[in-house]
Amino acid sequence: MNTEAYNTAQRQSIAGILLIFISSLYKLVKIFWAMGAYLLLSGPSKTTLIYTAVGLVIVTGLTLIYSYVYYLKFLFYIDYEREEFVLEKGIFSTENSAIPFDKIQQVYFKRSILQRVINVYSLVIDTAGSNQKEVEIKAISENDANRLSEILLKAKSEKVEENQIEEERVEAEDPEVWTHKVDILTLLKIGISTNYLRGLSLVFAFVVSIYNRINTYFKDRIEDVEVYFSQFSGVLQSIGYLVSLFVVLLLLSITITIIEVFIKYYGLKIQQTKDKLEVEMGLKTNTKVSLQPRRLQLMRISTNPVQKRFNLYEAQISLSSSENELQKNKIKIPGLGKEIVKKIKSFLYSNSSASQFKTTFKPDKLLLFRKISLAMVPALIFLVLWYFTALVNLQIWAVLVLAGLYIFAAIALQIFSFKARKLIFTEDFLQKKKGFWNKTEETLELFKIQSISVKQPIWYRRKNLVNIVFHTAGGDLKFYAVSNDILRYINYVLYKAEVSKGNWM
Amino acid sequence: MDPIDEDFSNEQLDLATLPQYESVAFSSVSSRYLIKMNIQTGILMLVLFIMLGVLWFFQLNQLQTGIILGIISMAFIFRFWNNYKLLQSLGYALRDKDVIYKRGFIFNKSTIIPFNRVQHASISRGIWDKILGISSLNIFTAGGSGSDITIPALDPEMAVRLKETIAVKISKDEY
Repeated sequence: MNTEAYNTAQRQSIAGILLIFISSLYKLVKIFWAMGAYLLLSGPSKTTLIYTAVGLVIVTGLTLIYSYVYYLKFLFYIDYEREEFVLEKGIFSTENSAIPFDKIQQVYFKRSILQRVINVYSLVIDTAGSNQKEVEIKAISENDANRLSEILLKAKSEKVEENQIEEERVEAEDPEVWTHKVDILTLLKIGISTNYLRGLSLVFAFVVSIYNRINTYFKDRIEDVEVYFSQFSGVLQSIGYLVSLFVVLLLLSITITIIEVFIKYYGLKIQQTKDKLEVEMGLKTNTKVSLQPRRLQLMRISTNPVQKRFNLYEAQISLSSSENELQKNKIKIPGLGKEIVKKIKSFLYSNSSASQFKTTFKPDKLLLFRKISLAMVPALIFLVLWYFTALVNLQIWAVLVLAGLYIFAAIALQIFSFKARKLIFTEDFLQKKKGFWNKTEETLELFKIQSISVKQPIWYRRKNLVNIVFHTAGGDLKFYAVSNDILRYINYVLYKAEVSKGNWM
Repeated sequence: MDPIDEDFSNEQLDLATLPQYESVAFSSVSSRYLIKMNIQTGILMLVLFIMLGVLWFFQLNQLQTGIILGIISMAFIFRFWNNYKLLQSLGYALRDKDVIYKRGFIFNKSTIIPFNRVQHASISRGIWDKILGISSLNIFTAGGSGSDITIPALDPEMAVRLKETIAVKISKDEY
């Protein structure tokens, strides 16, 4: 580096005081304007007005002092030795951040109207991760902004360069290229097979309403049986009417889903080029995403028995989100055949060899009990509503049948999905499988983790259970109530992350 | 994709010989953190008691006030006890390749962040921290808020030392 500029503590542009002053005044006004309005409307006396005015002057003065001190305390500089950008700020609570050059994602300027008026810029230094982790210098002159961003970007690129060169060498290989298109028929299949839940709820609504109708008929006509028989055809008629309504609704909902699927995924095309996977889809707004293996964080493949029959799998892919915030960092690709899923996997995880071990963990029964008791809550609410209020108007046998059915179904469902829940460690990957009907399978390359959290509520202690959360830049992977033995594999995952020199994004 | 080094080797690992994060010795934080937590809890308690007092004056009868007072007091006794337990459970440790932070008595949680995943570290001091002479160290990753850690109540010099150690580790470990 030729210059050692900004290596001593710098303050913001002097106009920054004005900016701080105005924005803090604005904040105060935002908090207290209602009080002021109330005071004015209540017809204040002269003395009150004078006191208020004096108070306002004092507050303004204090704010001015605050702004000045804040300005004095707001310091930033570049530490060339340690290769980082340092920022200190705050009066009452202070914050001291240091950003290493190679963690800088981008440096850019922002300008609000106020900043335009007093001719300063906001310089934002963005690091990977969420918004709160970026560093902002709110008042900096154009000159300083340009120079600082130039230095930082240069320092950053120097740090990253060596790594880049190696990467390009690898990419110079020549893998085969393939293209996969999802045709209209497949889209139709997706539309039909993803609709069963909505269909199911419709059936439920249908049954309930038909029951209510019969119930009211019975109630009204319970005393004279003759009339009841003459009315029976009426009931049948109304049932027929309901059935046709139901069919129409079902068709409508399927149609809507199909239209939705078409709008979202029409012309879905996946193309593998040399070093990335291009995904293109959408009727109205054409989405185009390129997937690079190194940006991949988490992949989720899901299907259900109906879709499996049609050979339809859905892939949901999380990417690291820092490089461009506008770009979607999660994309869903439906309608993939088994072979295509395999192809995508082998491309995205190209450098993985056959694993030397495979260990499967299953959650403890405690989780099953918890899930079942949670599933009982709706039944309980329903029973309470029925017993204490008139909201649910049913006879006791109907309530018992409904509750019994629900409890049976819920327990069965929970047991099956509990059995399907597992976490598999292999040499390079972590896989979580779950779901009884909707089967999903999440895959995480071990070295892509950001950190790991191990949680243990006090009631797990006796049974030596833990909850595990693997944090990645594209979301978390959680696994609950698993035996302590897993810690050995946690240490293995950490080891994998710590020895990896690979770029995780 | 990893470029393959010349000296690359890939022997099978014996999982049992890997270093175990759960058996490291943790350093505890300053006991002044208990004062800070108790002050904060105390302020909250005071506010609630004042509100209850006002309500008692205008709305409630003796019995209702007594019941609510009892409940609030129990909750705060629990809080103070929990604060104490929390302080005891707080601990952090720096290893060669990662930082470990554990906290929580009833909900114990340990987070382990490898240094080559740390984005940056910062020190923050709230108003109580300043009065009590302690600092918090924040360590950020790209993994969202659940993945970041804040170690409270460090001696200010210690916090600076830790931050600088981490800064060195980040830049050294990376490439």
